Amino acid sequence: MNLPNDKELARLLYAGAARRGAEGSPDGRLARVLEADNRRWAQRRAHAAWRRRTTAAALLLALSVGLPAVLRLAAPYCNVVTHADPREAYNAVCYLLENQNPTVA
Amino acid sequence: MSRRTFWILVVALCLVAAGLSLWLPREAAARRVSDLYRRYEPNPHLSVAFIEGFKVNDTLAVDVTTVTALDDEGWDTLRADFRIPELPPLFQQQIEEGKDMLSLRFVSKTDPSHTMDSVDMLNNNVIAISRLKRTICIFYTSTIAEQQSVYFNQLEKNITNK
Repeated sequence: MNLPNDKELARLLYAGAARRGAEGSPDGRLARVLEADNRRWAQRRAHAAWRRRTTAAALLLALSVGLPAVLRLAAPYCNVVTHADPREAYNAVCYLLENQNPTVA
Repeated sequence: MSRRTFWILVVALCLVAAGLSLWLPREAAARRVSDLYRRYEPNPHLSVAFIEGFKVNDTLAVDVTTVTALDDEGWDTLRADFRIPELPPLFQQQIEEGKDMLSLRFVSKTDPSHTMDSVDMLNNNVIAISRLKRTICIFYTSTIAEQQSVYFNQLEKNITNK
């Protein structure tokens, strides 16, 4: 036999109490308590969803800032500013400085 | 705020942030380049580059500006600006045959076209010239040790190569 879970039980109780209960009766009080409880749960769910969304948004934002920066730093010859070929400029300095084999910056 | 509006705003913000993080470092690097780079950059006969933190050896990194002449007119400009003397015909012939003649000297920091400041050595940078490749490099040094490292590193290598 399938037993109703807490949430289902609360819904059933609330429905029954609302159907039967009048103001001031024990069923009516129960209905109000359950209604307030449901409202609280709905608020908590909304807050949790908002937290999840903002966390995901913050992660996305961090990625969109961090990823291009990391890619730029990881790129070869990232420290060369030129309108021509950065590799050529780098090699020219290597050649002039010590005739050594150029290594990537 | 509806969920859709929220995500549209987030995506827009991400695009702006990514654009800024790509553009800002480039802009910052362009602002840090040397005066020499700015001076020769518009010249179509020259190719200019600025290298930030070029590793001279394991412990030393200096900024470098390199200017390469793309044609005779560019080389004439460089020779006039940096007072590179004309070579005797015998040497000139050797360069035309593909042998290089590297030279290294000190130039004033305030005006690289002038010769070294013999009173205050710290007011000098090191310049290297390749006649074969028609390239000059200026190493921006701030201490005597850096000057010596750049200067003697080259000499040492040349001696070792021989």
